[in-house]
Amino acid sequence: MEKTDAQLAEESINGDDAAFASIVKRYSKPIYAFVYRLTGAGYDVDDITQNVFLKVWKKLKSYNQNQSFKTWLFSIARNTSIDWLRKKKAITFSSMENEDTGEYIEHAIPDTEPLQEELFARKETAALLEAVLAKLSLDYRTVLILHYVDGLTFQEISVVTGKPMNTVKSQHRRALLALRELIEAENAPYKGLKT
Amino acid sequence: MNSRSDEDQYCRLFKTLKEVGPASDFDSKICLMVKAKKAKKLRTHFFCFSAVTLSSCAATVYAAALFIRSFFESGFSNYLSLVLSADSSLIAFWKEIAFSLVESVPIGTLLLVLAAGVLFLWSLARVSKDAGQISSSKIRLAVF
Repeated sequence: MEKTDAQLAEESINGDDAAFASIVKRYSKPIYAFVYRLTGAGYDVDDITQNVFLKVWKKLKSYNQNQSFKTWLFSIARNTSIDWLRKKKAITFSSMENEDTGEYIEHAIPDTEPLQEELFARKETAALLEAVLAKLSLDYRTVLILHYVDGLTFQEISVVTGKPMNTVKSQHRRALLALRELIEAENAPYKGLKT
Repeated sequence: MNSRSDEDQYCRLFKTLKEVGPASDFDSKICLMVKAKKAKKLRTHFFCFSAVTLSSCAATVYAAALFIRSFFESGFSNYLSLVLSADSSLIAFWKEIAFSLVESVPIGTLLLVLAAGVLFLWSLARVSKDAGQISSSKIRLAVF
């Protein structure tokens, strides 16, 4: 039977190199993809991801086993990516401040219409989506990637980002609106996309 | 539009993203890097505790010499031989002799010997543990 993350973490703390190798094997790909999309770092993604796992190894003793290992790992990846972006001066402190007040404003934001079906059929949709994601703010990008690519719930994203769940939900809503607007702007032929 | 289908269509949209992944040897690179850090940490510990072991060993010897000297200078040995002699005056003056015996114990140097000795034994245990780990990791590296 496959060992759980918590079991592997415990064995790694006790000095089992094979257990740590299993953790790396299990999470290197999602963490790499997360860092890649969050930072757009290109060649530096390798270094940032290696740094993430090095931090994981160093901090394993402080890992609380009641907490989900996946969210703990993603929060380290997020913080490491933010540190890299700050070093590169790609983001400022002000852009990291939460624009949302924490109030749940989902009801204030109008519902979106369905995305056009032909958008999914197009070959260049992936490239378009990558380009559009890169233009979103770091908070919005984080929420969307964690939710739609890595399959984290809002509760888990709230743990990863350290923000209240209502803030995460409203950020998700705003991010979808921003995403749709950017797709429209980037992709003029798709006039059918409305907010 | 309900939020479920809203979720579904964005899930579909994000599924169009191309898969991004590291090179095939990436995992082993991370493991090697962690092993190298571990080995470096182990070596640093080993050298630090070796220095502490040597220093505490010297301190224990010095403190022991101090203790022996102060032991004979304090008159403790005289009081002790008086107690062991089973003199009749012992019964009459047992309180005074007991107090003198206690007062003459070179407490300061005794504590110094104990502290240095405990530090020596503790650091020696750490050094031998680290040495064992270093040699076993070298064996592991040699095997692989």
